[in-house]
This record gives sequence, structure tokens and C-alpha cells, in this order.
Amino acid sequence: MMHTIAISIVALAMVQGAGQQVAPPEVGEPPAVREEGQGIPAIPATPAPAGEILWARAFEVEEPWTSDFRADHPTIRHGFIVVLKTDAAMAFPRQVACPVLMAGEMPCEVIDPVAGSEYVVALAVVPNAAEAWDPEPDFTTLDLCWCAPALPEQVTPESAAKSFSNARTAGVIAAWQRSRGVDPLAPLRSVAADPTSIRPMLAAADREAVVRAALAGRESILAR
Amino acid sequence: MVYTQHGMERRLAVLVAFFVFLAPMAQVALAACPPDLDGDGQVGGGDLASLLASWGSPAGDITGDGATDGADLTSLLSQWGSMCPGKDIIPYELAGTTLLAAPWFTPVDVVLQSQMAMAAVDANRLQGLSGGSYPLYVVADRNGDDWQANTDLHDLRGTPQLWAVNPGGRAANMVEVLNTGLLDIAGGGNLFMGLGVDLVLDVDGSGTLTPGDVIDGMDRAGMVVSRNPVLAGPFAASTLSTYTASGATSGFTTSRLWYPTAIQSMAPQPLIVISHGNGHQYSWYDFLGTHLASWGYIVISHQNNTVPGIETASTTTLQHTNAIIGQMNTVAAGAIANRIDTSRIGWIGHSRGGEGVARAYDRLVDGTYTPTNYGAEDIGVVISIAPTDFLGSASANPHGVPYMLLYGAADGDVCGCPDNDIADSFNLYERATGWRCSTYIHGADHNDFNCCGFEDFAGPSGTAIGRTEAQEVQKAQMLAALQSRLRGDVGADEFLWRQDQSLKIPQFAATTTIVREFDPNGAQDQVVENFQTNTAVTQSSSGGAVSVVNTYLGEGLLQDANTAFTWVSSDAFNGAVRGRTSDTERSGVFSWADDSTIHWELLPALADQSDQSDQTHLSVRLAQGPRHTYTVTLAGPCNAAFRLVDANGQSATLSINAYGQGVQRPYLRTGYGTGAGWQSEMETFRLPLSDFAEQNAALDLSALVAVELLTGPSHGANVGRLQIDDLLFTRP
Repeated sequence: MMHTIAISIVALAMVQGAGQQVAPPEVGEPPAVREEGQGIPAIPATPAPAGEILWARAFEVEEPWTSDFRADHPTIRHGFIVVLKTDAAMAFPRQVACPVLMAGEMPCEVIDPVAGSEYVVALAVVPNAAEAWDPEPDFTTLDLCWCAPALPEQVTPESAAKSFSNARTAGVIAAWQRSRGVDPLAPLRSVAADPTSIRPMLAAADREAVVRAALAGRESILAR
Repeated sequence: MVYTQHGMERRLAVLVAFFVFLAPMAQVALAACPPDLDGDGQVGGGDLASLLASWGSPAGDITGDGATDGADLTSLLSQWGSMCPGKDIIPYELAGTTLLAAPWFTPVDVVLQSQMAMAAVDANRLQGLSGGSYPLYVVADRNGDDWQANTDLHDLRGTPQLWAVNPGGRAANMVEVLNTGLLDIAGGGNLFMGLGVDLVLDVDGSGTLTPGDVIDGMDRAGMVVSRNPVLAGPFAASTLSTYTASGATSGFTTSRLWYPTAIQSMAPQPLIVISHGNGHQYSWYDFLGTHLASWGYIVISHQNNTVPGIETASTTTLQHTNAIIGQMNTVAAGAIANRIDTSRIGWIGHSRGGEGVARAYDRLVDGTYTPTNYGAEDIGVVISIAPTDFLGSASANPHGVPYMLLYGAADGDVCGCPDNDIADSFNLYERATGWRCSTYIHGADHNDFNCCGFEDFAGPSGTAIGRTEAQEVQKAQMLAALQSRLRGDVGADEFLWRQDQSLKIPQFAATTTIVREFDPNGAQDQVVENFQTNTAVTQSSSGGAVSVVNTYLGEGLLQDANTAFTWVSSDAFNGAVRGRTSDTERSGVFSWADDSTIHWELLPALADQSDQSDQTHLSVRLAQGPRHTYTVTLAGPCNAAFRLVDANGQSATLSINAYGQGVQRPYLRTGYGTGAGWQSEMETFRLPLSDFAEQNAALDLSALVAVELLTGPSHGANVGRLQIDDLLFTRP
């Protein structure tokens, strides 16, 4: 475990120290399997539980960004980076509408999805927050679920609220909360200097820095 | 036929000897052309008037009996429309290719350099050539002004070949244009796919173009001897693995660049921008970037913001295009400095990126996005590979920009399914109102068109063509579209509409089925029927009466009306997943179980309908009705024939399968109900009007009164079901 934590921290440090001109890490080529009949998996039923959080980290940015993941383009100042292990069919980056990973009533900003992978890295962002975390991130309030297939940029606040309500009605949110067990902060502690705290929170300049950290987080998970 | 260099040299030596021996024969006087009484070079109305004015006297004697009488009239009418050498330089389509059925030869512009080039002449129409032998020159392409300035004939092969013309039509007078392999296609930095040449039959053997000579290519190239578009072009290519685009969306700034290594010694070249699909990578198009750079293009492939949706993807396309123009003097250490021709831009997008490029153009048209370095007028062509249709009729819309669709019939993602408009790529094609073409490939899946995407094949077992084959088609077809629209390459269009049996690229497997649509939407087109107006089935969109024999012609929106592909009579356009309910493209549909005819009247009062003498082709698009009982029974390509009828009652008929394989059988993919067969595969057929004239020299293309579509046992398909659209006369 200590070895894993060390890898994660080193990976983060390396990425955070990189200059602005460094391109995002190229994801390794997906397996070039060409067996006729393998095909793209069918879209699983939604709503559905989000899966297991393997890694997470709170963040806040100096320069807020406008999210493209909801039709009203909310302003984003903070949120959580999450790395999930989930149903690969659910996370499959199709060209047609895909199930939307929701954090409450806001679609998560899924980063660089890889076909066939069961690992998802996403930014569970808080829409239109007036200011930075106050007093500090409350990870226990983060409720994730897979909701009905849609194009995130076409999801409205109203349709998002309805999707999340459907998930709650279906018992998906309750199941998610139960799945986090007795220690919901465990994923956060995987990178924490103080294992009793969710700190250190990532204080990033902008979204690009957050994305770099998120991809490094995924790499650290894959390296385990 | 492929010649070795040694073989070509031997043939050339034999040819030269043959020519020297027979050259004097070229001086043989032309046979007379008696019916051409007024000496205008063609048998027509003026000759008839002269004959009638000379009735009873020797002046109008054609038969040689010393009097002008009924026998002369019969002779004249039997040669109506024929052309007579001797008075003027005669424009005539000499270059062409052989056919597997009547009329056995058809004029075309393009021949691959590795393949046999043919020429033919109709001695029935070119009165007086029969029995003579004449030098056939292959000369550098000149336009009319050039020919006026310089009439010298200089054969690019070194020496002309001698052509002995027999009595009879083209079928009796087909010759191989020898030694096209000797032509220097790539010389002089030629950026076209091929070398345009003119063919001249030097009737008087003078070595110059003079009255009485026959020329193919007075105004445009008579024949293009083309390089193989699958193969690398003439330029070495260089790559910059990554650069960072200024001003692009954060997280999506990385791009890859390809360019001709010697670009600084070239004039500014077109820019091609590749926008990948969802879950794809910018690094997956090396095969395409390298290929296009080898043909002289500057190409980038950029990170594309596809996860949020189409709007964001279109933004990254717009941004990266702007960025590379702004950075061309510094990127790659100045390698492409000032070498992008910013007025010639092509966009290629895949899946969500394929819709993204259409949306990007729509935003330029709408004025909702204004780049600093280019505008809508600079986008010369948009190409979508299996695009989605999230945004619908108004926004996923190529408008009038030249548009190409590339699509695999075994696509397991953007599937062309009847229950999901988003997955119906042909929707975008149908919305394009300008020059447009599509290439639909049986056995190709969504990710065959990149290097590394997830295997998504969804066709019948054993029909997958694989990535290598799909990408060879992709490279050839995209290059042709880019050459056509960004370089004005006259030889390119034929790669986009001729059937494989007619223009065979060696790398394409004989078993691969490629279905092509091509519609130039030219201002000069004369539409007979496109079903968009006059929606009563008894009247065509051009206003003429429509009648049928032994069939029923239906009209309606070109849309599948339910969510399955099972054939039901309530869904006349079953399989036509080509539009949303907000789209307006209409079509016709009919079926037959006996000989049947659809007759479209051309209104003689309207000169633009009856006079098609300045057009070159009758064009139509047809698709078999997927899973219809008759389609299942036919179980193969469907033949049909078109007949033109003129005001004198003369007619000529051509079968579409003479030009290839007829209307392709739908890809036998299953799902969405019972039976096999997937979406409607509209396929364009362009029948040369000169072939109709070859069938009947008396047919007067300037006085047509009807077009007829003939189907049934007498025309090669006992039963059948066809969707039909865009019946029109056209020319290049």
C-alpha cells in the first residue's frame, strides 16, 4: 500500500511540475483486437450504480472555467477528481449517446475515455459555486450514478435533475452510499499526506492543470 | 494489361515500323458524305431542306442515280444526325472503355496508367472515315485558345499510332491507345492525379489539327491518364509528431502535422484538417496524413473535444484550423512558412467529429463563429466518415459546401439503425445541397477508417473486409474528392461515380462491394424528376406527365417510417434511414413482377427539357428496397434500362448493368426485425448521351420528348423493388 501511495504522489508531482507546453499524456493504444464479432457492447440499463471509487482528490482552481458538460454552461471553481472502476460497457466511449455519469444534478466531466477500459477518470464538479470550498470539501456529499444516455452538452439543469431523481427513486443512490461503506474517505486518503484528512487538496491554476492531475491519477491506478 | 518496360519498348518498335509502312494510307481521300448537302458537317434539317428544294433535279442526289427522289430522302433520314468529316474540326469523344454488354464501349475521361486505355469511333456517324487509316495522336492537353494558337500535333509517346477505321459503329472500331505507360505523369511538379491529354485523329495526315480532323479534348482534357490514388503520391512527406495549437480549448491543444518535405519549393498548398471521433485519438490517422502529404497537401490531425458533444467538437475543429494558419510560420521550425493556401481548406471528421465538421461549417454560415484567419468561403470541401446526427436538420448541415460521406455497411456504432436518428449518417448527406458524393463499403466497420479503434464489426460473418482494404478505399476516394474540390482536378470525379467494373483499382478486392453516389448539383443540370415538387405521382417535378405500365410509382419522404427493417407494406421506403421527420428529401419507389415502364414526359415547349444536346449524361440514383419480397427473390444486383424518345419517334435504350453490376443487392446484415438487408444503398448511374446516340444515330438529343425506365424480365430482372431519385441530365 505504501508503495502505491508513493507512486501516486510521484506521478502527481511530475505532472504538476510540468510546463504548460507539455502535451497531455497520450493514452496507450487500446488493444487492436480485430476478431470479427467482438463488436461494441450493448448499452447497459440505466440508472445504475457508478462503481467503485479507486482514487479521488478534491481540487479548486484559481481560474474558474465554463463547463461544456451541461447545456447552461455553469461556472466551475471546484470539485473532485475521481477514478472509478466500473462496468466497461457503461463507460464505453460510443459515438452515439452514452450513459451520463452524474454527480448529483451535474454531469461529470469525463476525461479521455478509452474503449474497453473499466477505468473512468472524471471531474465531479460543483456547478456555479459562488466561491472556493468552504470550509472544506465534503466528500460524503458526492453521489455518483450512471444515468440515461445523452450528449452532456444537451443535458439541461431540468433534465439532469430529472435523471438524478430517477436514479434516487430507483434506489441507485442509496446503493451507492451503502457501497462506500464505513470509510467513504478512503479513496481520498490514498494521496493524503495526513491519512486522517482529505488534504492536501489540489490547488490548481486552471482546468488544464486539473486534467493533468486526473490523468496522472489514472496512470497511478493502472500502475498498481 | 500491364506492360513491362521491355515489353513496351518492343511494342513501340513494332508500332513505329507499322506506321512507317502504312503511313501513306493516311493520305487516302476521304469517302464522300453525300447526305451532308449543306456542308455543315452533320446530316440534319438543313440537308433535308436542301433535298426538298432540289426535288426532281440532280442537285439533291444522294444515291447517285442522277435525280433527287424518294430514295434520296430515305437515305438522308437513315443517316440523320451523322457527322461528316471534311468541313470542320470535329469534336468527338474518342477515349473510353469497353463494356461487357451493348453498346460495348463508352466514353470516359480517366484511365489508370497501369491499365489499358481505349479509343473508339463510330464510322456510322463520322461518315467518310470508314475504310481509311489515320494517325491517332496523344498530345498534351490544350484548351480551345491553345489549339487556335498552336495546331501542331506532337505525340507524347514519341510517335502516333495508325488506326484503320472499319465500317460500323464503335464496337467495330475499338483500339487500344498504346504506350500510355510512357507518359510522364509526375513531371513538372504535376499536382493532378493524372496527365490530361487530347486525342486527335489526324484524318488528312498533315501532322497538324486541321478541318476534317477528329479531336477529343478541344476544351477540356480528352483523356486523363491517372496515377493510382491508393498509392503514395509523388512527394516525400515529413511529419511533426506534436505541436501545440494556440487558442484551442484547454486540454485539446495538441495536433500532429504532415507536409510535403519539399513544400518550400512548392506554391502554397491546400490545408486538410482531420477531427477524430469520440474515444479516438488524433494520432490514429498517420496512414491518411502521410498519404495526403505525399500528394502535396498540408495536413493536421488534432485533439478533438468530443465527449461533451458536437458543439465542442466543432469548436476544436474551428480553433485548430485557425491556429495552424496563424502558426504556419513558426511551427515545425518554419518548415511550412507561408505555404498554406488559406483559401483552399478541407475538413475531414470521423463519427462525432464527422458531425462536428458539418456543424463547424454551419456555424461559419450562421455567423455564430468567426475565425480570424479564414471564413466559410475558404472551406472547399467537408468530408464526414460515418457521422452522427445529434443536432438534426438545421445544425448538422453541410449546406452548399462540397460534401463527401464515407461509410461502412458493417458499422457497429453509427449503425444506420431504424430506431435511432443519431446513428443515421446518410441524414447529413441528404441535407447537402452542393456538390456531393458518398462511398458506402460493404464489410467495413466504423473503426476500419482509423488505425486503432475498437473492433465494432456488425455485419454477417465472413464479410469483413478488414482495415487494410477499407483504408485503401478511404485513401483513394478521399484523395479524389479533395483533388476535385481543392485542385479542380478534372480526372478526379470519375473515381467518385464510376463502378469498380469500369474503373478498377488493382488494390480493391474483386469481392469488395463499393456503392457510390455522385451528384454535382450543377447549375447546368436539367432535372426531370426529383420528387421535391409536384408531388402527385402523375406529374414530375419538372412539370411533365408521368405514366406507368405494369407498376405503381409511389412518392414520399425518403425516410424509414418505423423502427424495424422488416418489410411491411405500410413502410414504402423501408430501409431509407436518410432523414429525420424534420428533413424534406423525397423520393420515388416502385416494384414489378413483369415488364414495366415508367414514362416521364419532357415538355417540348420548354427548350431546357427537350434539348439536351449540350449535356453529356443522363443521371439517376437507385436503391433496391431492403428486405422487400422482390428484393429477396432477386437475390442479386438489379438491372434496369433507360430509353430516350425524341419528337420523331426515334428512341434508344441503354441497360445500366452495361456499366457495372446494376443496382447492388443490399448488404445482408441482420437485426431490427426479420430477414436480411440493411439500409437503402442509393447508387448513382450516369449514362452517356453519346451512347444513346450510338444506339440510334437518328435520335435527336435536341428534341427529346420522354425518358422511360424499363424493368422486368426483358431487362434482366424478373422482379424487383427500387427506390429512385434525381433523374436528370447533366454534364461535367
